[in-house]
Amino acid sequence: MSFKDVAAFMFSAAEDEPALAAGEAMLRAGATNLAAVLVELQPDPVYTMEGVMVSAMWAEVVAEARKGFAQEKAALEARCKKSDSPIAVRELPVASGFAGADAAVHARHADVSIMTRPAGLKAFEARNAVFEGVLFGSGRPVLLVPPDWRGDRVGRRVVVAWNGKREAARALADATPLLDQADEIAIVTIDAKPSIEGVGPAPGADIAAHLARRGLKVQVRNLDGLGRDDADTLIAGARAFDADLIVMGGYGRARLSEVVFGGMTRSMATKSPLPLLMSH
Amino acid sequence: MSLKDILAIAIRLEADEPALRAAALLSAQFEAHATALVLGVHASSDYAESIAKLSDVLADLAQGSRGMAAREHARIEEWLSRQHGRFETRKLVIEDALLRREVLAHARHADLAVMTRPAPDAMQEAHEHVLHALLFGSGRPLLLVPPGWNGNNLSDRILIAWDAKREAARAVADALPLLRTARDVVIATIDAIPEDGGHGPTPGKDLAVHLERHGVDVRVNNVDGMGRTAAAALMDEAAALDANLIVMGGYGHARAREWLWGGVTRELTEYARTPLFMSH
Repeated sequence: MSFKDVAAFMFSAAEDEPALAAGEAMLRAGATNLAAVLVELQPDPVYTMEGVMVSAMWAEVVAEARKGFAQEKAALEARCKKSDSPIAVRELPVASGFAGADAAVHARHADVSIMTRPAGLKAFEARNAVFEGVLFGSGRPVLLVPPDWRGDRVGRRVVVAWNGKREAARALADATPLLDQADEIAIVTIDAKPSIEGVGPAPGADIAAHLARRGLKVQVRNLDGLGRDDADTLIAGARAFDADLIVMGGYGRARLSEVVFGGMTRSMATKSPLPLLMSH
Repeated sequence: MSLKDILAIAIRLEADEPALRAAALLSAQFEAHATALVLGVHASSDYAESIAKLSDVLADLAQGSRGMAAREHARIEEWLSRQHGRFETRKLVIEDALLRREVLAHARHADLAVMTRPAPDAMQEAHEHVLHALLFGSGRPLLLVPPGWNGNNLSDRILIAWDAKREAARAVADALPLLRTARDVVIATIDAIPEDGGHGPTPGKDLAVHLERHGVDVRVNNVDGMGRTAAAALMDEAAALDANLIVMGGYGHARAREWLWGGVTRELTEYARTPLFMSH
């Protein structure tokens, strides 16, 4: 059973081409619906020192933003028309500060949300907010695609980063549609310490047995970190396996009323050269 | 999500037979592997406080392998032996399961955990602790079967308790294998406000469209709470539908290393007469 209902969150037709292309790959793999959700950032109100809005200036700011969005939308619609399959273009107007929450609501009705990796792109803050909102707030997985991704399929050879934690279990379950279609799957542990309550007495073996019951044949690779940080070890391991997808838990810690990314999650989301499927 | 690997929790046969029966039922329906995780409670355990007098504790210690936990285990094994070899059995001492959180390692390697919901009996505290750990910590869905449940179907008529939040989206995604086999699925919202709290202009419709893309036919019922608690309204809806299952988000808030239950979740897990399928 493949993903059926896919949402790609986009900010720009050009920069988000990889996300859209990954969405099209999902359609080829059996998805029936792809929505290109174009995020429209509402400009922040401008106030004078007296707290009164300068209306002329504000009108200009709004007009500028509208024009920019209309151009992006036209470009995206033109791009979607060229696609082999129908792609629905939707608008998601968001006020700054609410991008994450609004995108999460949208993502709750999709099987998976796709985004281009925010690092290094324009509107980084808003992109990151959407990524954070969808990862922590949608209850569904997120696929992050690198800005230079040029693939035609996601998940031919899949690496699953396994540490025995809740989020990893979540990601593994959410990745089922992709795992079912994969040619090869490797379970990767990094500097694993055998333990009964975590990765098991033979790290990776229990989860491999579970996947076998789901009809999936996997290999287990217990990687030695060799003093590198975990993200680098994982990326190197994925390269060695010739993977085209990494599945991992997306970690965050609650800080006051917000959730902040865990270290490994942040670093993978910043530098992974391969598409990442994450769940929280 | 697939349903190929089911974990049933058994502490005392008397109380936990409903969970074992539910697991057997699902395992037959989905041709899934079933595991019974038997949690041994020795008379000296804190969890046995209310049923074991000091003299019993001493007798239990003296009896060793013929003691209380062993007798209960034998009873459960005897029940399982009548299930045509459907179950694999694993054995854990309840303190290891809970204090060392080993129960989570087992649940994270399964597609679904099944347990009987706590009832005011000798094992209430044990059941509550297991429920708490699994719901908030496993990353996998939990099927909570009411005490004394004697149904023979879990997926014919399903009620989805839909509040458009992350946890509910999670539960619906996790319940897809069951939803696909259902004859009648009702999405119930209680006192929903359009365009508020994650709902769109027509509460429940977005989810209905999404589920239809998965081949699940659904009806939406926007229920007026009429002063009832949301939980009471849901239980009434479930009764009216004669639902075999309620699919719902399992809510809790992390407070100083502890999880506090959400109100609706608490009330349903205490009183619902319908099995509950929950994800967090």
